[in-house]
Amino acid sequence: MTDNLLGLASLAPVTLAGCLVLLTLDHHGVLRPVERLALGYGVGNGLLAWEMLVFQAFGFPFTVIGLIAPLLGVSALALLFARRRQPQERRSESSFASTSVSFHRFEWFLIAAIILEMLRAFFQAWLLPMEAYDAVSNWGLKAKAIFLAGSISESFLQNPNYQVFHPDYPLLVPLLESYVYRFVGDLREASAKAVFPLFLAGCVVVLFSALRRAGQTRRSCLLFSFLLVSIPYFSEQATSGYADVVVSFYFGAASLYLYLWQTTGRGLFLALSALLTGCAALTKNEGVVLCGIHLVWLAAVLLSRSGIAFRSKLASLGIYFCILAAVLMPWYLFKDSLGLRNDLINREALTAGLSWNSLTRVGPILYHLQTQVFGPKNWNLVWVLLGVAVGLRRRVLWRLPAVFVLCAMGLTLVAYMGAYLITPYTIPPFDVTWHLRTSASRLLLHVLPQVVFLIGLAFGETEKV
Amino acid sequence: MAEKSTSTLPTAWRIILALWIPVWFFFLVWPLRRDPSRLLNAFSLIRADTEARRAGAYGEEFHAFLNFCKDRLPAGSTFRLVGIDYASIDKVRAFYFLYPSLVTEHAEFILVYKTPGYRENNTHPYASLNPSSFILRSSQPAIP
Repeated sequence: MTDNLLGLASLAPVTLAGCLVLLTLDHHGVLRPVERLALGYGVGNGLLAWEMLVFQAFGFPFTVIGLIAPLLGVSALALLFARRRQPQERRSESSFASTSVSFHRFEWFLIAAIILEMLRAFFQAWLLPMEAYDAVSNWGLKAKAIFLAGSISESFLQNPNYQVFHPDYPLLVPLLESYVYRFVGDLREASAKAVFPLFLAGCVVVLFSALRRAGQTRRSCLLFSFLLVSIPYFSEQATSGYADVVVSFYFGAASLYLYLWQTTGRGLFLALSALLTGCAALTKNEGVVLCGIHLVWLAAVLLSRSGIAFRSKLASLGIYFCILAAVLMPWYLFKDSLGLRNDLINREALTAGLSWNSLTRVGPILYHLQTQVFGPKNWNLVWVLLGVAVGLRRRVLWRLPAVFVLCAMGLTLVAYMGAYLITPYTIPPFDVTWHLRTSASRLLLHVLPQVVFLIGLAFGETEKV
Repeated sequence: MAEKSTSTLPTAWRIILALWIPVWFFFLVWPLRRDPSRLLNAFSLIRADTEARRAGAYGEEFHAFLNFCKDRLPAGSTFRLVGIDYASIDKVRAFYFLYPSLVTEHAEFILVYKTPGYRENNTHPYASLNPSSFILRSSQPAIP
């Protein structure tokens, strides 16, 4: 348990920095404390990874004090500055019902089940060392190299014997793990693995908050939070050291806050969405696709709205794009300086893959998707429920504003599955079927919070007015 | 969408829960029902240290081999693996575990796992765990 506690202790100052940034942005006290904590954890981790990339560019070593002091100092100064400028404006405008109503038995059951699943995830993460394939090859090995070198080991990323471990993959997860090792002072894998169940907890809190903001009752939010956390594959992936649950958090939260911006018009939600989308792209290359999809979503919303000045529309799009660019720039400059490129999805693969021949892969892709939809062992009935929701609740899900979430999710799946049409795996046993089997189900995790959110909108219960 | 909150559950929820909870509970309990030793293993791991947990995950024999190699390889050395399938998870675990020793084709050390009698030109035995798992040292200079 000491390992877990050390892991949590190392992440506390990072979360605090994230919370301070959110307090700075949240002039009107819109975010609730637990929501702020969950988002602060995600934003803080993103800022830490960003800071480490900037340190790398300037040749600063990764020391604990050297990393935490500027992060906390700058975020605290920003908060002080923001408070001085607008001291009278700050008041709680949270749209949640804040009167305390005692929990019913059904709610207690859901709370107990959610806590049980969370504890199970923390326990599993603590119990097992880094041992899963990508957890050691993609993320753990890089984290170890960064920890031992005290910076991002450029020679390691350029070593041709390690090219198979995708040196072009973004480094948020290895940087976080290496930070935990540095804070703890040793390569304690169990401490670093605490990062992942915390992202799972973050997903649950963000889903609860987003549904609550969408007008759902407390028990409705609890029900759908329970559905999310009890999806076996989701909680399992939060314990193995894979980065997909991290993308689920960033992409899920980014989409849900973009939806909330769409429904409320609050600038805070737009900025949060941009920040979180950028963090998704710092976590995995798939995040770049998600950035594109969110930009298209934003542009579509802005274009569909009449009565807003063109300048204002352009400003919203510009702010979103600038936040994304600021978050991603250090990584892409670094990656470019090393000449790293993706070995699967690149210009050659695109040129070679864009042929009628590649359409023969549509069959295996659809077959694989079908095994997931009707795969209760991994997904319980979440995909079936989504199908039923989309079919039966067309008045909710096929109309504004939910249709944008639905389209963004569909576009994500199309883009992800489209990549399998061009990946250069052609020779059995390493053909597209193998590639799908080893990676596609994990990609589906990225849209899971949105899926449950849509099911919640479709079958949830709205608050009495 | 239901529009008011009452003490009774909406019909849609009842249907969802009636289907969801049995599936959730089944897949929570079924692995333990099928293999009760999993639970015992989990309890035994609670008291185990990191290396014992790693041995449980990697396999006792392979973990012993990796530990043996880690103890014997000089700092900053290069190695190559023999007897471990290129596509296997053991390969990546070895790369991870043995880092900062680096893998290379023309390595100073050849780590031979479960391949009795394996020999290469210009190498000599360096250390041995057992007759089938040992380390050979190349007499030619390593190329990183």
